[in-house]
Parts: sequence; structure tokens; C-alpha cells
Amino acid sequence: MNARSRLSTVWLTVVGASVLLFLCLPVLIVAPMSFSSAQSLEFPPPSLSLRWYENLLGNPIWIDAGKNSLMLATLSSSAAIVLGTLAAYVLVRGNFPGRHLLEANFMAPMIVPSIITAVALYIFFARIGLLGSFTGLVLGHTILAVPYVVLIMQAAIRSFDIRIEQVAATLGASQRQILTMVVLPNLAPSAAAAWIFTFVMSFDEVVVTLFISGTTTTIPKRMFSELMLQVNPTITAVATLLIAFNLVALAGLLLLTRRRGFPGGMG
Amino acid sequence: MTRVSFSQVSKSFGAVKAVSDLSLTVCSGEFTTILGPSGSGKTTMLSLIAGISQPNTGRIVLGDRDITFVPAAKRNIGLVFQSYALFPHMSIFDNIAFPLRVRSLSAAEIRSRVEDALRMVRLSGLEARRPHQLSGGQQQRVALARAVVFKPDILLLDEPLAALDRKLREEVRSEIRALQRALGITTIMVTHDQEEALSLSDRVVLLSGGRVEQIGTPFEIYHQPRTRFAAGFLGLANFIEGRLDPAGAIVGSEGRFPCASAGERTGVVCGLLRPEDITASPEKGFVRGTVRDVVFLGEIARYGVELDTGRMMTVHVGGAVGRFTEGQPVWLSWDPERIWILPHEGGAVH
Ligand SMILES: Nc1ncnc2c1ncn2[C@@H]1O[C@H](COP(=O)(O)OP(=O)(O)O)[C@@H](O)[C@H]1O
Ligand SMILES: [Mg+2]
Repeated sequence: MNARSRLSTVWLTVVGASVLLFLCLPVLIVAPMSFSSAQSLEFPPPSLSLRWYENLLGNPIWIDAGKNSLMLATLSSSAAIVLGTLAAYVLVRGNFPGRHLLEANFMAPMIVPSIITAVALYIFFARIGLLGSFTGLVLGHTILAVPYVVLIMQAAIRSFDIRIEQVAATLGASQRQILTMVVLPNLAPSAAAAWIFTFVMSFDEVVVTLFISGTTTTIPKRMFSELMLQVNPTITAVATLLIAFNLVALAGLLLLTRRRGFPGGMG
Repeated sequence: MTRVSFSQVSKSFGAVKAVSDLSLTVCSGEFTTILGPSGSGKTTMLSLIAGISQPNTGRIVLGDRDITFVPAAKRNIGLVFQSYALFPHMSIFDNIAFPLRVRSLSAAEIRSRVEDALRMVRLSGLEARRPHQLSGGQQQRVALARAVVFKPDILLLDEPLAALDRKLREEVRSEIRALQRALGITTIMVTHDQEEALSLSDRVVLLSGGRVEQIGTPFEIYHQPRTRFAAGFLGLANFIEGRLDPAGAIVGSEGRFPCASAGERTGVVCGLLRPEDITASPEKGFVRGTVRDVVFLGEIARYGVELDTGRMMTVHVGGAVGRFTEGQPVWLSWDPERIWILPHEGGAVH
């Protein structure tokens, strides 16, 4: 290796490390602050305590928001998995006019800015009387999640050898039996990964939620309104818990996609 | 009862004519091979029979049933792909049981039929394994068992041996043949390997560019090809062009090649002389040349001999008989009966 390329390697390392540090900075500051004993947001914390966690878990408003968020994320990601997987199957294996248009339609919520989706849903739900309802909120989150499910499941279905499905047909299986006995079992790992992914997305979603949730509170929405009123270190405890939760979800995703022996896996 | 016939079947993919205007009949109980170079439409033909795709024009009849547009699941045809296409999430037992389960057979019936099928392909004891825990040859046998366990009317095999190594290939090849004989099932196998086609089949269908080049027994295809393509695709060939001399020879700028009578043909013809039908010797023969190239192949040696007229001939010599070295002069001779006049070639002025 010559001096020049060694220099560029050093540069690459320095730049890479700095970017990583920058990205981790919020975590490195927020997590210690949540264990602070101080009354206001202070860094570094003067001394350690769990008072903000106690405060959080003792507050029924936060508990309620947490329950809502869990329920919302579970329902919307489950609905998105069912709809998105069926859509992905039709988009990959189907052969009909307008397929690409349909695909673009499924992808749209991912590309359209969420504020636009939020406004559109606001107007639409107001018309049909779903505005402010929990059902409306679940529908909104499902719409946001479907493109990601379609994307992940399309990749999984494409990598599943179509000849396996063709052979199943020659062996006498109906289209429905092929789907339930052959295709879906092989897509299960990818579907689980997509579910975790969309669950986390719904749990973090704030823009659409602010517009259409009415009086229903979710964790991100509660964090937002809390910050508007007063700066309270409870927020840092919530943030730290969310980060921990996301890390666990990420680990789950990696475990699922690393699995071998399944052609439908993403890894 | 279970013969398959194609009448004027065509199948295109966009501008590509994968199969064009194909008509042929595969007889009941026979082992037929569809042989042809890559891209000649072999897989397309199989998927048309299996019902994985439908033709643009023409009819496909199975027994006395027109199956042209019958869905694959209702055809009762066993199919084995080159890639095995086993169900990766199922055990070997469940793989073979699949066609029986979708037919809603009783559990006891399924168990006994799967066990019979496993015994037939000599895989008893492996029923609990997953496909990825088996070797290539074993996976192939599972695919075979799965394709015959539901007693299909025909068995279709798409390059079943291509993914196996040479030794295994010969083993599985004779197993397939034995299985086909035991079950008496009409079998259509696709291959691009001429040795496979010649050794396994009752009949060979030679395909080229989506059209039938020739249909016949392996012997006919090899020794009595109708075209240059057929002659050249199976084994090595020396083509001899020239005017047919009624005295019994093909005479051209490349020399005089004695041959037996050629039936109706007169004028300019193209004859086929296989390398193994030629004898090389230092003693005087029909034509003289010089050894230019020697390839030792174990059972035989292959010589490239340049005739005095400048033309190259390929000659096979068996065993250690008459060893020649490069640069050595030799005489070539043959039984004049062994020159086969290609019925569909020649006639034009070359
Ligand atoms: N699904 C397809 N889409 C487009 N072209 C195809 C498709 N299947 C086959 N072809 C074309 O049809 C021709 C015959 O293909 P195939 O039947 O697979 O040949 P073989 O099995 O003899 O190699 C080839 O030129 C191939 O490129
Ligand atoms: Mg092929």
C-alpha cells in the first residue's frame, strides 16, 4: 500500500467515525440525562437517580399513551402485513394490464410527504365521520405502513423460486393451496421482519397522528405536547425507553433476516 | 391411452418464437427424449404439456382429452425440474405426501404410498429430513418420487441430470430408466446432452429453433440423420460433399470417397461419415493424408488427419490399435456402406 492510499484510508476512518459519533450524539446525551437527579434538563447530570422513570410510570397519562401506542402499532402493522403481502404477491406474480400503475399506487404513501397524507386523511375522515376515532387512526397508520410491507414482501416473493409454485400446481394444488401451503410458510420470516419494521414505524409516527387522532394520545404525541408546555426531564426517560425498544426491535429484525434455509428470507 | 400429441402448436414470448408450428405424437408407455441446444424451446414444450403456460395457437391432446387450456392442477401430469423445486419448508415425507394431501387421501393411504415411493427411490429412513439436508442426487430422487406418487398419466423431466456430477449422473440415469420401465409410465425427458438422449430413450425428438428437426429411434437419429444439423448435433461428423458417381463414390474437389448406392439421389449430395467408421492404417486405403493432431481420450484416440487435397478428417481409433504420431502419413479407409447420404442436404451447387 502506498502513502497516498494509506492517507485516504485514514481519512475515510476519521470521516466515518465522526459521522457515527454525530448520529449517536442524541443518544449519548439523552440517555445519561434521563438518569439525572436534577429538576431541569442538565448535562452532564449532577448525580444519578431513577426519579424520572418513577415519575413516568406513576403517571396515568403516560401509561394510557403507552397502551394506545402499543394497540395502534399492533393493529396497524398486522393489517398492513395482510394487505401488503397479498398486494405484493399479486404485483410480483400477476400479469395484467395496469400492474405498474397499481404498484405505484401502493408505493405512493412512502413518497408523498406525510404532511400531505395527513391533510388528505383529515379531510377524508372528517367527511366520513372517522376523524378523531381510534379506527381512523389505525387506518391512517395502516396506509403509511403498507408501502414498506409491499416493498419487503415483493423482494421476498421475487427471491422465492417460481418453479416451486409451478410444480405445486402440477401436483394438483389449487391457487389457494399453493398460497397457504407453499408460499406463505416460506415468506413467514420476511413477514415477521416487515411486521417489526412497521410496528416501530407506527410507534414513532407523529405527523399523521397529530392531525387525525383527536383526543386519543400516543407516546410521540404526548412527548410533543409535553415539550410545548414545559421542559420536563420525564421526556428523556421516555426517549431512552423508546431507544431501547427500537434497539431490541432492530436486533429482532437482524435475527430474522439472518436465518438460513428459507428462500423467502431477506438475508 | 396416454399418448400426447401436439398439433401445430406455437408459443411466442414477445418477438421470440420459442416453439413454432410444432406437431408430434409421443406414444403411450414410451420413453421419449426431447433433445436440442439451449434455447431451442425444450422447456417451453414441457411447460405447455404441464399446463404452466398456454400455447398461442394449436392443440395439445393427452390420451383422448384436449388439455390445451386445462389448468395444470387438473392435468394429472408429474413434472421434475432441473432445479428439483422441492418445498424447502417441508420434510421429505411431507414433500412426497403433498400431491396426495391436496387430493384429500386418507392418512393411512398417504403413509403407505409415500413409504412405497421412498422405497422405490431408495430413500427409506430419510423421511424426516429437510431438502437442504440431502445431497443433489438424493434431492433429485425425492423430486422423482413426488412426481410419480400420485400415479400421473405422464412423467415430464426437464434436464433432470444436468446439475449432477458425471458419476452420479450415470447412476441416476439408470435409476430413472428402471423406474420408468417398472411403472410403464409415458415419459418425456428434456436434455441437451446427446449421450443421455441416446442411452435412455425409445425415441428422440431433435429440436432446433422451436421446430422439430427429426424424430426417430436413437439409432436412426445417429446413423440416419436427415440434416446436417442433426448429424452434427449428435456426435462428431465428417461431411463429404460432391457429385454422386454411379460407380459408387462421392467425387468432389476434396477427393474421391467410395460409398454404396444412394437410393434415388443423384447429382450433388452431402454424405456423412462418422469418425469411428474410419480405419487408419499405414497400408494403402481409399484416401491418403497426414496426421496433424492427436487427442488421447482413454477408450479411444481422436486424430485430425489432413488429406492430400487439404481437407481435414476426424478419425477415432479404439484402444491401442495402430498408434500414430503427428506428421505421420496414413491411409484412411471405410466400409462404403457406412457413408450415409443426407436426404435433406445437397442438391445445390456448393
Ligand atoms: N418466460 C419467457 N419470457 C421470454 N422469453 C422466454 C421465456 N421462456 C423462454 N423464452 C425464450 O424462448 C426460447 C426457448 O426457451 P426454452 O424453452 O427455455 O429453451 P430450452 O429449454 O431449450 O433451453 C429462448 O429463446 C428463450 O429465451
Ligand atoms: Mg430449458
